Amino acid sequence: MRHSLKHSLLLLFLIGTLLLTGCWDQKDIDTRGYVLGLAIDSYPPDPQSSESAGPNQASPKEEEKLEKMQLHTGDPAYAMTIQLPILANADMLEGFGNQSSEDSQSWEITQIGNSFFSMNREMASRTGLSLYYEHLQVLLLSEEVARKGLINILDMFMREPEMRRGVKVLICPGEAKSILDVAPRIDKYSSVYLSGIFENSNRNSRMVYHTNMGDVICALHDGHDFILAKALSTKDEIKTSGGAVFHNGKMVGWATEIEVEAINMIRNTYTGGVILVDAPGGEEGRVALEITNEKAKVTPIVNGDQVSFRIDIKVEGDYSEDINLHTHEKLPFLKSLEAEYEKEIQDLCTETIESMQEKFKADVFQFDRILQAEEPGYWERMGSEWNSIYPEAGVSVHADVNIILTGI
Amino acid sequence: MKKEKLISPQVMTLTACGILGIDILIVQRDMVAVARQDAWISLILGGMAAILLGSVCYYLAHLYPDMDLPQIILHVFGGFFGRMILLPFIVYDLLYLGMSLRIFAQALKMFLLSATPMLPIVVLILLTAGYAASKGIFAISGIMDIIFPLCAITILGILLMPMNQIHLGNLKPVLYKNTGNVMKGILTGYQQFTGFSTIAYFYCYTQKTKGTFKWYLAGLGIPIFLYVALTVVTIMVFGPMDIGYLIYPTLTLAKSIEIPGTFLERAESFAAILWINIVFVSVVLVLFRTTRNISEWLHVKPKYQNYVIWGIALLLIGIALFIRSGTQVLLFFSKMKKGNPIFGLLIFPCITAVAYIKKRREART
Amino acid sequence: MSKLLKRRLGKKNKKFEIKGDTDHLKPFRLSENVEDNITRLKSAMNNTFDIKSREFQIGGTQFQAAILYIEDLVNEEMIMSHLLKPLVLQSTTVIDSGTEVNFQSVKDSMLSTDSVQEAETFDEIVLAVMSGDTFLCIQGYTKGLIVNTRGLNGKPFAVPIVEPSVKGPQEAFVETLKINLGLIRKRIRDPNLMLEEYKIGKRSKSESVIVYIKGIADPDIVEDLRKRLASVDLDMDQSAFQIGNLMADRPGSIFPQVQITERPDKLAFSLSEGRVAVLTDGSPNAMLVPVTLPILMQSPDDYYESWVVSSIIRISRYVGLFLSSLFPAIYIAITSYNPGMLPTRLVLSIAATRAGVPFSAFIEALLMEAVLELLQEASIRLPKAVGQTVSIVGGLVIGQSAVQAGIVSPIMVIVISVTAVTSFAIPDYSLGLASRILRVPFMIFATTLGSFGIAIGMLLLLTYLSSVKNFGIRYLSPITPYHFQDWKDTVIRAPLRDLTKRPEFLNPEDTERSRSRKKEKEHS
Repeated sequence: MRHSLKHSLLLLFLIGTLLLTGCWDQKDIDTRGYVLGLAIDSYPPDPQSSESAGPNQASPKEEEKLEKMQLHTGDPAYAMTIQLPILANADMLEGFGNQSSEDSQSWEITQIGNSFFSMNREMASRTGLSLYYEHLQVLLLSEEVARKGLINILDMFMREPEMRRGVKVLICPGEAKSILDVAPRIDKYSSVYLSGIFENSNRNSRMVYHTNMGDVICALHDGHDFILAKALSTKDEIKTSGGAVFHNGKMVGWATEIEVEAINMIRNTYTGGVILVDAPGGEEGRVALEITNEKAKVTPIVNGDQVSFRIDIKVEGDYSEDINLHTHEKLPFLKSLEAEYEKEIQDLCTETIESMQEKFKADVFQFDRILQAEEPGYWERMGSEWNSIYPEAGVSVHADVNIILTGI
Repeated sequence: MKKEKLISPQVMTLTACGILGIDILIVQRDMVAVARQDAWISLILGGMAAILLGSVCYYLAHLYPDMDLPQIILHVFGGFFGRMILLPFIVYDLLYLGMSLRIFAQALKMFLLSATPMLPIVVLILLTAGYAASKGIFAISGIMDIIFPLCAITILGILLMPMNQIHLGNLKPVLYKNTGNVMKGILTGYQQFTGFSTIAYFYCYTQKTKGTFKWYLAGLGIPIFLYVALTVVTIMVFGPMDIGYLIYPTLTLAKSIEIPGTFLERAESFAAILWINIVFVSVVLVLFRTTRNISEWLHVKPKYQNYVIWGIALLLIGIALFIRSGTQVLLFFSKMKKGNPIFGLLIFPCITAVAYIKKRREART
Repeated sequence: MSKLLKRRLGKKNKKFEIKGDTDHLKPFRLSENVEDNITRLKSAMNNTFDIKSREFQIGGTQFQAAILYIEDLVNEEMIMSHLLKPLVLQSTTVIDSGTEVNFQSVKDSMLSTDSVQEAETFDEIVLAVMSGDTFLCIQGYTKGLIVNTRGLNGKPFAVPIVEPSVKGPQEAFVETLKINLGLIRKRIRDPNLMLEEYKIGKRSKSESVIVYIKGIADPDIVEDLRKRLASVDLDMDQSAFQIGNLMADRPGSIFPQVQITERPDKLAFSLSEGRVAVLTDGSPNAMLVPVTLPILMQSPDDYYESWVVSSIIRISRYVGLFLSSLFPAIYIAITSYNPGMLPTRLVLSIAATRAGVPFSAFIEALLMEAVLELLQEASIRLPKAVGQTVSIVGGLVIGQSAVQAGIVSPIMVIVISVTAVTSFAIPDYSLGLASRILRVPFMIFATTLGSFGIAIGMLLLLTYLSSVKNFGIRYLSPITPYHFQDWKDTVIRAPLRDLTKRPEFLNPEDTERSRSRKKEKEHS
């Protein structure tokens, strides 16, 4: 008897707790607004950039009526745009990625304010969907915002548990919002389309692949310099190639595509790509090498108060295409080709390093990390002056290329 | 009917479950704060200290194979002094349990249920743990037998999956002018492994075979190994500076797992299975220990022990929700853990020494 | 003589000796005294109540003779008309015509059965009697005759309905106790097979029999069962379940505390593992104790396929058990609380299909679950002719129309259908019902507290299962407490040659089932 009394009491407690709890967190899956992409521009916008008026958009003045919000303190400084999917138009039953109707598939809402969290909550007054950031694919920042400094704006993204560390961060030369307005042809949502491009990293290393929020946070906390991907767009296409260079948490300039390639090589984040050289031996033609494997070893050489770096790059690749040549399979030709590649890579890396040192004084190669790890004594002594030591540091690059396969 | 006894592998699971606890979420932060990138070395050394002192505990249990710890203490020191010595155990365990529950509820609120108030979370997990504790040590060990391999495999999964994001360089430089910190860190490392004293509470129920001690060592070794591996991987993925900003590094580690192409892209659901179960087993065991302590303290007959459990549960709700600020809770918890070595370094060896002397005297008469 | 026998039988078995065959009876021989023979033979077969004997005199002469047989296995008609009648009544004609009554003449001239054999040693006799033959011994002779009177040949009496098997025998128990005992004895020709009689129910006085193999089953379990059976206080027993329930440790539990089976092959195998069975007259089901969760998940089909195939199928059954209780709850928890756990494309896809559905996920699931349960209950009672149509209409049409009307989302239909189907992957029907009952509580947990709620629910369930004891054995044995050796036959099924020992958790007295390969090598 006591047994069943105990059990009934336990059951009562359980049921009581369960029924009295009000399912506080329950939200049906279709009542959430899945934010797929987020763009941050500065406000007031550059007078030179013009907004493209889409078919359903009201004139800019009208929109601002809704976008502005009353602030507790300070002036509006940022315009935050989010991209929400319009589920009713998403014709899921007809398979994926087809835009079967003329209706737009996504809705971009902009909010103007000076604190991202309040801006986020202000959007709750404009849509019944509760915004949900766990599926955020990309975070786009305009160049203006990036130059002001990232620590200023990224705090909410670091603090909120909903934000994931895998979100891709990209910098746009113009207005970040325009990227979200792109209506891609092979996907419904531009954010998903954009984040899908990064899966091609092993085919093209001119993209900055390690451009996750996690990488940014690590670098900002550690005080290292880094590069982030660059995003360019037209009406229905987005391209990411090249990168934005950051020093001390602020953007200082753009790195070209080939510079990004070299940076990837030196930082060991190169997963695959192509290098083209002129044919050796004075012949008219070019040969393309598809690089399949790349490894770089950076060794710091300490000389009193001076430090220089020796970079050894080992490359393996396949002979993938030649232009204006007959295929020369003979070994001496391949050997001289390898020498050409080695020289090309060496020049490339040395030029990029010098460019980064002189133009931006940014240690995007994270030599300081290597120094900290390998030569802690030196770092202890001279580390605080790294900003002045780095531009003077000498580098010597040695490359070793091996051609593995030559096709037919 | 033969009397039911715990078999030796269950000694391993019970010990391991007693050690694994809420610490698994915050161990990396505590260690890195003291020893930076060499935190794992401190942890290994702290673990070895725990094994040493754990063996002392085992020996104590072995001296009186039919009594559990509160009974041994009362027997060795007599009624009055025994109760005085038992009191710090009770107080520490209650505080530890209350803080564990609170930190668990906070972490849950942060990552899974953001709008739910803390009271239902704490009440529910206490109800479940109380129910389990009231079923007796054999049912408890049955639960641990199933949960322990599950959790161990999940931890291994969380360790192995971020492998594509590690930077070995984060561990360097190794022991560069850091040895002092590492030595300081040994104490902190040892604190993470509190809970090895659980053996003294269930040794009386086991089949005493020759291999039991080996299983006990395995039960100590596996959590140590898992904690160290977790710390190493976390440092390799995030770097010592970044960890300082993370409140729950293990959960952030789980969130950062990216394996493209699998069905569950976001593998942090594994983490949810993990830490809810680990906190549960830790709460059950500490509850069991406290019940035994208080029952012996107040001379409660085994029939009424279940009421003690519910009484403690009510008290714990109060303790868990007493401090309002989350940061204060974490600070208090860290400070509290600093008091733990007193048990291991001072109290247990004293008890063991006195018990040994008393046993020799008893044997002579 | 009988003392020697008892001592011999009670000795601890030597290594490598498979107990249970009749070899150990070889040394024993018949004496010249008929009564003595019959007594000794009966005690060699443990004096079970179904061994019958009849003493008579041949044809009115002074020759004493006796027959010994097991009533469940023989064709009694044959005994009466071809054995007793000729010897007792019709042999008078033979005797009167001058034939001397001796062993040879009885064997040649007085029996009208189709096969007769001579036998001297106990092992031959016991084996024959256990196969359904009748043993005839005559006063003054140390030889006896074995006469073929086997009944129970050929046709099955009933076909298994609740526990069908793909390749196994299609035999099931019937409502008559005698025939059921015969089906068991036919499979276990072991003199150590013990049958103990009980009468249950004050008014019904139904005959119940405890069946076990002495020397394998743990005597503590048997003793426990005897006590419990004796304490069952019933007016009239309605079902095997009722008796089982009244004896059980946790009568209120939704998890089966006894295993009910209608297959004699399953029962015979369980007896050889060390379990004990109870059969009742009037019930086509037998009860098996003790029972644990892994035992309920085993099916005789597992032993008809290769070990890899069987292991995978067994694992999929456990997955089925898990899904059958938890799938709707997991769906509710993930979609309502943590859509972040799913890949983005999946989330958008589910959300798009759910747009426009008026109910919350929990109500949807509850509605579909209610309809499903009603359908399942209704289909038990449907007349065969209409059965197929109604289930198709109910399942497909209702489901399809509900989706198109926008009342439920198609994903919910998928979830509920998968759940329904997986609950039938569970071999034991009662366990399947238990898992169905657990669906709704888990759904409630999921809808109030998301995945934390499910975790709490599972922990509560796990605690409950760990604390249930069944005749002294934990409900989750041999998974916990760890009996590593038994794991070869629970979730997976190791190659048959490696299954040489009986399950440890049942505490059998005789642990070796067969010789392992290693030992064979040592001895060859």
